[in-house]
Amino acid sequence: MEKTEIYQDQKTANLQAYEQLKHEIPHRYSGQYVVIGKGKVLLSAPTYQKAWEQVKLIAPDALHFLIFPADKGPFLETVKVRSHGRIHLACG
Amino acid sequence: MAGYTWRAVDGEFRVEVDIGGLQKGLVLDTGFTSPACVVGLHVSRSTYQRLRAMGAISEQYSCEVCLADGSTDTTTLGQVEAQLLFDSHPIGPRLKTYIVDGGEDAEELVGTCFFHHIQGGALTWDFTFQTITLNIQD
Repeated sequence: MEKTEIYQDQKTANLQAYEQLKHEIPHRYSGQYVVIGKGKVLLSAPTYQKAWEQVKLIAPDALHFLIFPADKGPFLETVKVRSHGRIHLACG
Repeated sequence: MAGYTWRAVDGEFRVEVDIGGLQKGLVLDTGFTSPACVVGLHVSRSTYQRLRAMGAISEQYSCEVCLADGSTDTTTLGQVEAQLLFDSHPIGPRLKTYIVDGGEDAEELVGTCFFHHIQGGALTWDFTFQTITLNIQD
């Protein structure tokens, strides 16, 4: 399976998990940052940075994951950065 | 109504923005967008970390970023207050927007969505003179 397919499968599983748990998460993890990965809640942490560090430790193979304040829910938009990095044109 | 004009340098429009107390020169990039238009700024990791250390970022999320080559990546964004500047003077309202941690050495960008939140403002792009002029209520 290619990396993009794995990414898409993980993303689908994580979004489904969030849909199933979205009413429970604010009550259970209020004031915390929640990480959803591998189709389940992987952990919660008091800060975003701790959550990011922990998910990299316990799920280093996770290509897609969601980290968000339990009381707000995840940021689900895709940000487009079409000019990311510089394109250098050499002429002559 | 007041008008503020920027001239393109090397084909780029560079504007000054105060992000949570940190003044940055950012390249205007019409290719930097988000569907609901809530993400206006894109900075390097060192700038993002500096803003976080200053307490300028109020809440953070992981987010999916679609890059120029079509690949996707997961990075961090957070909410900030930002103010457009002209000759170091504030113009227009102070805005709440999201800022993306673009990674090491990322180009620092201001997107169309930043300008879309300047209520009552209008931008004129003059191709002949290579300028943009923002007209805005005083």
